[in-house]
This record gives sequence, structure tokens and C-alpha cells, in this order.
Amino acid sequence: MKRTPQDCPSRLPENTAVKQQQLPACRLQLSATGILSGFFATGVFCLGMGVILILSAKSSMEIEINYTKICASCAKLRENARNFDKECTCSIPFHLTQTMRVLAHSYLSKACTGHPMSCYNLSAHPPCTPDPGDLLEFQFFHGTYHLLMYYGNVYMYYKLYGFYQNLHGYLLSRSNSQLLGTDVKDVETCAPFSKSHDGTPIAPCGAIANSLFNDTIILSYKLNSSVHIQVPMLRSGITWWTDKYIKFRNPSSSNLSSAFAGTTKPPSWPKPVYELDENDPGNNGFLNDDFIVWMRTAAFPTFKKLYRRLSRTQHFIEGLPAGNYSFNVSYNFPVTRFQGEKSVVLSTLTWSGGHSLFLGLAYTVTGAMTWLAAFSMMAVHLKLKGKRFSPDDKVKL
Amino acid sequence: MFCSEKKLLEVERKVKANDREYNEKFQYADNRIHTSKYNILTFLPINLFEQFQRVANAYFLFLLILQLIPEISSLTWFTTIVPLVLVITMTAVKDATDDCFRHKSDNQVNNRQSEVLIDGKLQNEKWMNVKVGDIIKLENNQFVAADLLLLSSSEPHGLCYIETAELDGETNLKVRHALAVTSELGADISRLAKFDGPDTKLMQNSGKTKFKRTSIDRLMNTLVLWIFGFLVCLGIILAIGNSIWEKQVGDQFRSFLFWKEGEKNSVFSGFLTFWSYIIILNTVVPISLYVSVEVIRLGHSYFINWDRKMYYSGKATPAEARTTTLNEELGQIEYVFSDKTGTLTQNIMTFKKCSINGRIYGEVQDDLGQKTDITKKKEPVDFSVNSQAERTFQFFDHNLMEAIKLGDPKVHEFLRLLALCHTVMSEENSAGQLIYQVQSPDEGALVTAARNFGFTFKSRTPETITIEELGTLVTYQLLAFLDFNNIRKRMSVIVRNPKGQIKLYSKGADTILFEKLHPSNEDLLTLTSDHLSEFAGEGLRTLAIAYRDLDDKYFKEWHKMLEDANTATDERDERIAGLYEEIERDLMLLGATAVEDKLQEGVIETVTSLSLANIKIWVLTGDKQETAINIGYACNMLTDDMNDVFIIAGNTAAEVREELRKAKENLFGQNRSFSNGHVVFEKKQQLELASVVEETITGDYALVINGHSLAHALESDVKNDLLELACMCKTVVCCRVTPLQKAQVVELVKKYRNAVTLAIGDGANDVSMIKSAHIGVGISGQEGLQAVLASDYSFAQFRYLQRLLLVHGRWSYFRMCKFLCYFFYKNFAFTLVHFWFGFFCGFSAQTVYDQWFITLFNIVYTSLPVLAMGIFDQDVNDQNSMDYPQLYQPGQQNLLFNKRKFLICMAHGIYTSLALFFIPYGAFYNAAGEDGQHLADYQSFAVTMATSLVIVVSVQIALDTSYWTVVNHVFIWGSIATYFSILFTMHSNGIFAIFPNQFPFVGNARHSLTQKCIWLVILLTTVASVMPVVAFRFLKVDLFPTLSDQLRQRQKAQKKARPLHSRRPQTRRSSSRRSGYAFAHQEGYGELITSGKNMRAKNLPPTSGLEKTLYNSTSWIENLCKKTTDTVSSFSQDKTVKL
Repeated sequence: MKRTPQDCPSRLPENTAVKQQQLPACRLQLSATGILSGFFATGVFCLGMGVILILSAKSSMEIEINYTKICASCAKLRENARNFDKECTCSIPFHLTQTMRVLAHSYLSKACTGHPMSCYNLSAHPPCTPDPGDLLEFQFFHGTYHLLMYYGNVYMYYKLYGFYQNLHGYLLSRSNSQLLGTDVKDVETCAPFSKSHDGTPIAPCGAIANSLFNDTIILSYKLNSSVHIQVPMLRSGITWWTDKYIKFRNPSSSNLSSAFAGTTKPPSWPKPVYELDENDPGNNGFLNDDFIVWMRTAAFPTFKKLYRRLSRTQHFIEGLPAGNYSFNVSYNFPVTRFQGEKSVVLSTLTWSGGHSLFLGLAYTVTGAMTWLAAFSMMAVHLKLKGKRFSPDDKVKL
Repeated sequence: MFCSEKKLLEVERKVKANDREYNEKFQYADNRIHTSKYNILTFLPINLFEQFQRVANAYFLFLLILQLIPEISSLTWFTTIVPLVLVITMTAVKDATDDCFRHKSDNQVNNRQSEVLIDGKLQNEKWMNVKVGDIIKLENNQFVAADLLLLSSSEPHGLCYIETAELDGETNLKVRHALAVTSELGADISRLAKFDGPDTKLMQNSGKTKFKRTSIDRLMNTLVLWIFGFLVCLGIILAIGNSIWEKQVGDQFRSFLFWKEGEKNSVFSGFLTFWSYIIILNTVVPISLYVSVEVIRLGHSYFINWDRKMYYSGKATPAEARTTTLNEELGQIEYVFSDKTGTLTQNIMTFKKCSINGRIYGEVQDDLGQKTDITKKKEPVDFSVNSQAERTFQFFDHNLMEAIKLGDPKVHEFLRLLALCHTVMSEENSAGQLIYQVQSPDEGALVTAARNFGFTFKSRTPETITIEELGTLVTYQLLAFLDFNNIRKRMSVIVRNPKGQIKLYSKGADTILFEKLHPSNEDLLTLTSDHLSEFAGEGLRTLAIAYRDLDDKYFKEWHKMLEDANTATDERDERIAGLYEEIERDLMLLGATAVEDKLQEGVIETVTSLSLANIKIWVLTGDKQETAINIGYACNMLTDDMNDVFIIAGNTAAEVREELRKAKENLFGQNRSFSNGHVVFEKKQQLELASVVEETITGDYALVINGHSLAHALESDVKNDLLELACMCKTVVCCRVTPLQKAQVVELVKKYRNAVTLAIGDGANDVSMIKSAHIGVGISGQEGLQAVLASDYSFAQFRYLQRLLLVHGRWSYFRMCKFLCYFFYKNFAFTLVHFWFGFFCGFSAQTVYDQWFITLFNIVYTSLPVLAMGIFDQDVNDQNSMDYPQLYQPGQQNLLFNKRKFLICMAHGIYTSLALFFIPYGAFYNAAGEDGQHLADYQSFAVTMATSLVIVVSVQIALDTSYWTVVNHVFIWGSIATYFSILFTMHSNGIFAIFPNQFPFVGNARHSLTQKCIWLVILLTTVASVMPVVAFRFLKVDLFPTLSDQLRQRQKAQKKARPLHSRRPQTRRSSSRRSGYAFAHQEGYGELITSGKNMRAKNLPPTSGLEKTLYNSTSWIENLCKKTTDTVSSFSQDKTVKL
């Protein structure tokens, strides 16, 4: 079909690669060896990654103490909303030990089966002690833990069970423009916590802010039988930089209380937002770190949020030394009302972040499956190779 | 429009010629053509109204309204409105462009000039301003754009020749004559406008074209319904979940939050949740699906338009996809219904060979004396010495020319006969060239051949024929004209040459003529008969040629008897026929002619290739049985290797039934003997199990059925027998069928075989068939437009059908299926994560992703790569598609996209959504960031999921794309890049500062995507969702490789050293089959000639000849009208529509 262009220049389609569907292209045609080697490589990678992740997760430490039941009396007090102004504190002693790292893991299951409740509480990986005496102690103090001494940074989290921060209505019930400080009275999107009964806009408005986690947790270290010292904790650095410096701003004014004039506190808060931390203006108002952390809503109903991190000074330069500790909790957050639970978590980190085995296991399983698939594919391929007709035999015109 | 309503009641029209004022009272429609739908003002409302009538658009409008209800609004309004507006805009733009073209063509037709008699003067007027009752002057070769009444004409007797090509595709001239009263009025053609504009017959008959949809379309609609059902199920599950959750957890949680206002009945909450989830999950029914499908089809249509290999330079006609919505159906055709004339054949007859006095002329011999096919290398006979020669005529055998020069009397007589015995009219054009007006192309070929060999037919009067014999003008006196009819199958002339000898020249079907020969012709007859067989074997149309010397006395007696017979009142026709028989005997055989009904180029290859692709070709033609069979053999549809050719030609229902029964019995009987020789009593069983047997029929069969039989066979009780028989045959030829029957046959197959049909034709008689088949193809480039106008695709040559189906159709189907598979997969993977998330967020209709991501995912992040695949993908290249027609079969069997495939895609999507959701869920459950900050917040989760999803679907499309062009690269990498740039933009500080409530994800991308853990999650998700697919596909190709897979491997291997592709040599049919008679002209033109009515007055000799007295002027017109009723029906459709 060779045509001269003069033939009929207007109607003869142009001879371009696109129009003639002759665009230069590479045809994706993976060979058997390519696919199989790809599979083997992926398998190796996944297995390797899985092992590394598991090992590093094991090298990190985590201890979780569920204090819902321990502080049952406080919980009961908080169930009645009228007691909101009554103080209630609760102390949870526990023991950190430096030894038995390997043993700790091997006894984990035994201890757990022997004591279901502890198993629930120790949902992560704090190894239980094999010693029956410790178990007794365990019940009495509600926590004796034999752990490797924490090196490096230690982070303290609070963890909530059954708290749905991801409910559609809850998630929406906030005002970013108010939190940005541009318009304190912009509470449009905060329903149902936008205005108080008398019509004053709430600051910070919305369900998220209203349900702010307000327990105070203090970790103290039993230096010896009589001296308890408070473990120094840092509040800074627990928020995302963008949250602290971009997303949350206080309204500009000479002082905070005047900046929030014309607004009222959220109904369940004991004090207004500008009194969250009167000592540190950088931590007050919307810039309060605990507030910012809370406002970054969790994806799942079980979540932990960073509360404090260890200030590595004095005794704690290398982390938390082994010994006896206690959490002193000022119990304000009423979880039992919605059948939730709360716990406090101490954890160290690995290179990839938190102490979680899941990713390591998932990689290992994926790697193993990939290898399995690769082997079976290779078997099938080799078996068929001899038998199969060559394409020329089959393709006949 | 008012007029057309009135028209329903209109029984008669009162029109005063040339009196506009009077005629205006009736408010007849004006002559403006309106095929456009909109104007600038009405475009928006009408178009929007039309668009929202579509179910999909209406559904999304409904969703939009749902979203405006705050109680159930789970997504912001823009997630639906942005895609909806985009889709509607695209469709509107397309509609607007289409309408623009219609406006243009309307204007072109409306603004043509005509001459109208206004106020006693001829004035130029645009056709659109012509009013009913106007008198119009038309000149030669002018377009007619209204229904007109012929008042008078410059031709004698008010005759007027019109071409109706734009109406029915027939290029020959039709004779119309003015009423005797008005014919005397004027010298030029004047006509009275009768019906205008929308009232013209054509516009009245044009009817709405049926909206054609492809089977994929229908499947898609079914699937969309399934998806709706699935959606409702999911909604119900989640709503029930919500009710339970509200009752058990939600109430307490809400009371903890002091959420008094939000308190509601848990059942009611479930109800609201249902609607909320319907909104969220609506993306499983993707709004962009329909528009993407349209875009892909449009792309494929353009590829058809642009294909240089489907461009016919001879007519400067490119292929054209007139419908842009049917492309993938081209890849699923099972039955092709083809017209013959103009489609398979060129409707050009060429004189190929002849046998004169026992010697064949026209065979080309090479140096070794062996017969060869005519090739271009061979020197054609040089006719330049003959000034009258037709330039286009080619003859490759020099022997005939030599024989003429040597003065062989038989050869001279042969050519003289060809120049004398015909119904051709001659005229000279302005350049002095002799032009023949032929009614039958066969005759034209013969007369032209004689002309080139020196026996030029110059002119005729009712009594004489003047020919130029080798340079000398000779005038023969025409004594009698024994016309052709279907029973006689021959025509003769009786002439007196200048020497006074009376001769009868006769040409006709060999079977008939051979019976009339003088016994002395025995030897010649055997020889000629052999030659005829040979000609027939080559698929040529043959005529036998004979003459008879008459003595004066005998003729005079005979002529007297003829006159008596003509004036007789009773049994006139029988008596004349008897007399004709009487004189046409003792003929001396001269020889035979062989005319080639020239096949279109490449027809044989195309037919062979299509049958290899398992496409059954049925020929539906109005031609006679013999002609049809002849063509069947010529293009290899019928072969001598066939086990049997069943011919159904019964005239009554009972006969047809009997014939069908016999054919079936024969079929099964033969089959039985072929297979393993069952005993007789099993025969009945076999008949009952026809459908089973169908699969096991061995051998090739063909069915030939004619129009009469078909009419009976189409009756309900035998219909199935016919269909069963026909479908078991490799080839089916229906001859003598009416346009309506063509459509009926197509409908029959469409309805009962559930097969995809394609009809191809070139003329108006194919329109009904083209319209009723799934796909109609028109042969363009001819004068006629009707078939093309009704068609979905048009091109100039039948052979392009091969490329249209095997390349474009196959690719379209392949691409569309891949596209759909991927599209459904993508949307399931995208949407179902919301379902899983529902179980973790208290069924509160919280979306997993950011609202912006939901808005943009289908239209920005993932639309282009899949479109590129849908438009450009190729599994094997076009050459291989053509070379291996078997590749076409998956389309016919509907293998690439069906309900099963859909379920697989769905399962794939569900699996991916599971991996997408649960791997991040597991990883996030107890995770913390590298800096100890928490990671498992909703926003990070959303970003992780979204990023994983985009990467997973991009990897998947990369795996699906088998033909990576630059465009694919740009789109796939571009989409990922776009995703990340939009992500970072939307999460940037700047945009948050401006719209804090719209873009609350500030800093999220930066924070999350710098975490190793997140990338590990994304990587694992990708591996986990892609690996099983790769493994599955690898095993599938390894275990059950398709032809396409094998070819792809081979293509890859051959990429470097491509061997020259050699076509198999076409085996020429060496047939012993005797050709049927092929005489293609209508009865009745003989009368026209002998009456002289069609001759110019000045040519009319003053004396009245012998024949002249036999007819008076009215009787021949009556006869003509009677005999040409089929063409007369289109008499007043003089409306020119050039679109």
C-alpha cells in the first residue's frame, strides 16, 4: 500500500507512529527465569527484612500496666459526673529487673496461661517471671516485671482501649481555623460542642477537645526503701513539629486569657484552655503538648499516645535502671463509663520505630510464601518444559 | 414541527403552482433541512436533560442529593460533584462537536442554489428558501433537494433521466417522464416542488436509527446492577453492624462524650448509616467508567480513521468509523452477511476471454507455452491504432488481434454480433468521445470489447444500427428485436446488412442456446462446451453466441405472423413467445464469451482469512442463483472440496420443508457414514439430538437458498430447521432476496444464535440489513451514500474488512476487556477498604482516605495509565493478528471479559483491599514513630493507605500493560508523580494557612513518608498484593498458554531476525463445474429501443419502421412502468441529502 502523498493529501491519513499504531514500544514479556529469579529475590528480601525486624523488635523493650482495675475506686468515683472536682490519685508499683532476658521470653507463655488477667494486661511482651513467689507479688502489687534495663530513650505512653477516636462524627467535630488562632469564635464545624448553653462559643470547641485525656501520670523511682525520687520526664518533643508550629497557634494577644475572652471552656474540662499550663506560656492554650497530641486522632479504637519521654539526667543517664518504680496517677479520665480501659506504657524504640512484632512476622510470612510459590512454580515449569509443544507446532495457519 | 403533526391528518395537498401567497395559507413546511439537535440557546438545557436521563448520571445526581443531607453525608459534596461535572462536561463537549458538524452539513445542503420562477422571472434562490408550489428550473447534473413533480423536460416526450445514488446507491440512470399535459410546456427541465424539508419522502422514511449497543455494554450494565446489589448488601451489613454497635458500645460512648444531641435510636442510626455507606461505597460503581469507555472507543475509532492500510487511494477514501460506540464488538463477530454486487464484486464486467469457432482467445501463455495468470509484466494488446478504443480496456492475448487482421470471417462475425446484439445506447460527449449508456454491465463489457477490436457500435435508431467495422461505417437495418426475459434467457436481433442478407444474431445462456443449434454444430459444440466449463471454472460469466442466416421469404412470413400475434387480443404473449422459439432455431454456433464479474481486490484472501478466524460468511444477494453460486466459487466460499452443496429452491412451503428435511437428513446421514457408521435406527435419535450433532459434523457443507424459498423458510415452523441447517454449513448463499429478507435473515441469526453479526453492503438494498445487524459496514467511495449513511463503519474495499476485524476489532476487544478488568479491580480495591474499616470505627461511615484523595483517585491518579492501556495496548502486532486469524476466536467465545472474569477481578480487588487494609492495620496497631511520637493516627493511616493503594494499582497496571509506549511510561510514572506532588501540596503549610478546614492534613505527608516503618508497610502491601497475581499469571501461561501467549513468545524470539513472511500461494480452483448463465439485464429495454422514445427527435428518422407500428407511445410507457415498478417506488424521493 504505498501511496504517494500527492494522491489526495487531504484525505490520506498521516503516516505518523501514533496514528498508525506503530509507536515504538517495548513489550512486557517476562521470561520464566526472570519471574522465578524475581520471586526468589523478593523472598530473600522479605525473609531477611522479617528477621531483622523481629530481632530488632525483640531488642526493644516495652512494659504496659493497665490501671483501670488497679485504680478501681477512682474509676468508680469518676463514673459519677458530679465528682469531677474531687481529686483521686492512685499508685501502681512495679519492678524492673535487668537479668533473665532470654528466660523472660521463654516463660512468657507459661506465666500468661497461668494468669489470664496478667496476660491481658501484659498484652505486649513484658516477660513474666517464672518464680511463683513473684507471681504472688505480682498479684499483690499488681506488677513485678523482670526486664532488661532500659537503655537509650524511654518513652511513656498512655494507651486507651475501646475509645473510638475514629468515629465519623467525632473526627469532624473540631475547628481547625479556631485552633489556628485566626478566629477563636469559629465553631461552625464543632457540633455538638460548639457553644455552651448560653451561646458562648467554646474554645477549643468540638467533641475531640472536650474528651481530652486528663490523667496525670508521674513515674517515681524507689532509690532505696525510703527515698522515692520522681523520674525526670520531658514534655517537649512529643508532638509533630507541624502540629506545634503550623497547625496549632494561640490567638495573638498580650495575654492568653484576654485572647480567649468571649469563649468558654469545654463542658468536661475543669479549667479553661489558657490555664492548661500556667507556668510555661509555650505549653499553654492551644499550644499545650498534651492537647495537641490528643487532637491528633487515632485511627483505631485501641491506641497509645505519647505522654512523656525520659529526661536522661542523674540516675537515668543510661535509661531506666533496674529497680522498683511506681506510677502515681491522678485519675481523672473516666474510661469505665464506656467499658474502656487505660494503661500506661513504657517503651524503647528500634531503628524502625515502635516495638511491634507484626511487621517482622508479616515480612517473614510473605517471604516464606514467596519462596514456596517460587519453588512450586519452578517445579511446574521444569516439569512442563520437556513436554510442551513448541509454539511452531501449535500455531498453524 | 407543527407541520409534521399536521401531516398525520393530511390526506391531500392543495397547491397552486407558482403562487406563493396562496400556498402560504396551508403553512407547509419550508425546505430547510434540520438534522441538528441543538442551537446555542437550547444546548445547555436540552443536553443536560438528556444526560441526566442516563441511569448512571441520574444515579450520581441522586448521590449528590444524598450528600447534601447532613445526617447521612459521609463525604463532602465535592467528592461527587467534581467527577460528575467532569464527566458531564466531556460528554457535552462531544455532543456539541457532533452537532456542530450537523449544522455545517445542514448549511451546506440548505445553501445550494436553485433557479426558481418568482414573479415570472427565473431567480437564483437557496434551496432552503424554496417553497411548496414553486416552479424550479433544473439543468443537467444539478442536485435536487426536494420532492419534485416533473412538469416538462428538454428531452423528447418529457423524459428525464435521474440518478438516485444518494438515495439508493444505484448509479444507473432512471427514466422519469412528465405528465403528457405538462410536457409540452417548456424546453428546459422544470419541476414543481411538492413536498419540502421535513415532509420529503426521504426525511419521512429516514426513521430513527436504532441505537446500537455492544454486548460488552449490555454485560457492563448487568454487572453494574450486580455491583449495585453488592453495594446494597455491604450497606445492609454495615447498617446492621452499626445498629448492634450503637446498642452495645455507642450509647455508652456517646453518653461519656455527653453527646446528647447525637443520641438516636440504634435502628434509625443503622438506617442512616446505610445511606452513608451507600455514598461512601459508591466508588465501586465508578462514575468515570462510562466516560472512560467512551474515550477508549473514540480513540479506537480514530485509529480506524487514521489507518493508512485501510485507505483506498483509488477513490481517495479512508476508512471511517461512523459510530464510535461499537468498536470492541468488531472483535466478536461470528457471522458476516455480505452483499455481492459492489461489495464482493466491483460491479465492473470485463471481457476476459472468448472462444471463437473452437479456439480460445484471451489466455496468456508464457514462453514455455504454459498458461499463466495475467500479470502486469505481460504486454497488453495495443489498441492505439483504433481511435475509438476505450483506454481502460485491456486484453493480453495478441492472437485475437491477429485473427482480426487476417480477416477470419468467424471472428468478424463474432465481433459483429457483439456490436449488434445488445440494448446499449450510445451518445457522444462534448469531447466527441463515444459514451455508452448501459443497462447491464455485462453487455457494456461485450460491446466495449467489440469496439476495441474494431467493431464499434456507433449509434442506433429504432430501425437501424450503425457500426463501424474496421474503419468503415456500416448501417444495419434492424428488423426485429427478440428481447430477453427470464424464461428465454437469451436475446436476438434480426438485421439486414447492406448486402441485403438477413441474419439473426443471438446470445444467451449456453444451456438454452445449445438446444437450438443446428445439428451440424456437434463438434464445435463439444469443443465450446469444454471451453465454457473452463471459463466457468475460473469464475467467469459466460454467454454462448450463435447466428442464423434467414432467407427473405421465410422472414417475411414469420414477421407477418408476429404482427398478427402482436395485434391479437388473447394469448398474445404466448403466441409471441412461440414465434420467437420458431425463428431461433438451427442456429450456427459462433463461440462463447467469458466476462469477468471482477471481484474486489483481495476478496479471496479476506474470505479465506475470515473463515480461518471462524467467522461464517453468508452472502445475501438480489442476484440470480447462478450468479450468486458463481461468485461463491470465485471467492472460494464454495469449493469443489465441499462434501455437499444444498440448494433450496422450492416454491411452496411444503417443498421448502421437504428440501430442508432432505438436506438435513443428507447432512446427518453423511456425517454418520463419515464418523463410524451407525446403524439406521440411530438416525432418528441423531436428528433429535441435532444440537449435539452440530458439534460433531465433519466435512464442509454449503447451503444455497433463494428468495422464494427463504420467504417460506422464514415462517415460524421451519425457521429453526433452516437455522440449524444453515449454521452447520460453512457457507450460506441466499440469492434473489429482498432487502427486507436480508434484514430478516440477520435478525434470525441474531435472535436465535445469540451471535454477533456484521452486515456489509454498498447499496440502498443493504440498508435494512446494515441497520439490523449488530454492526453495519458500508462500502464507501461509490456514488451512493445510503448504505454508508446507515452504516457504523465504512471503507472502500471489501478486503479492509479483514483488517477491521482481525486487527482493529481484535485489539479493541482485547483492550476493552483488559480495561474493564482492571477498572473493576481498581475500584474494588479502592472502595472495599472502607468496608473493612467499618468494623474498626464503629460502623460510623468514616472513610479511610482523605476526601480529596477520594475525589481525585479515579479521575486524576489512576485514570490515565489505564486509558493509555485501553487505547494503545497490543498483545501481538498487527501483522501477526492478520497472519494468525485464530487469534480472533477468544473474542467470539467471549473469553476475555465475561461474568466469570468479572468475579475474578472482583476477587482480586477484594484480596487487594484486604492486604491494603490489614497489613497497615497490623503494623499500626501498636506502632510508634522513629521519634517515639505516635504513628497510628487517622491521618497517617489515611496517607499510608492512599500511598499504598496508588502504588499497588500502578504496579498492577504496569504488569497489565503489555505494550509499553512512551505514552504509557509518561502516564504511569506521571500518575505516581502527580499523586505525590498533589499529596505534598495539599499537606503543605501554605495551603493549610489559606484553607485550614479544607486541608487539615498539614504536614502529614512530610511526617509519615519520612518514616521507614511506613515505607516498609507500603512495600509489604505492594509485594503481598502483587505477587499472587504474578504467580497466578505465570502458572496460567505455563500451563494453559493461549495462542496469543505463544505468539508473543515467538514474536520476542523473532524480534531480531524476522524471517520474510511468505503468503501461501492461492490455489486456483480447477473446476469441472459448469458455470451458470449470467445475464444481468432487465427485461423491457428492447421495447424502449425499438419504440425510439428515448431517442432525440432530430435522430428520429421520418419513416416508420416495421416495429414502430407495433407500439403506440402510451403502451410502451405503460409497459415500462409496469416492469420497473421496483425502481418507480423511489420515484419521488428526489431529495438530495449530502451529509
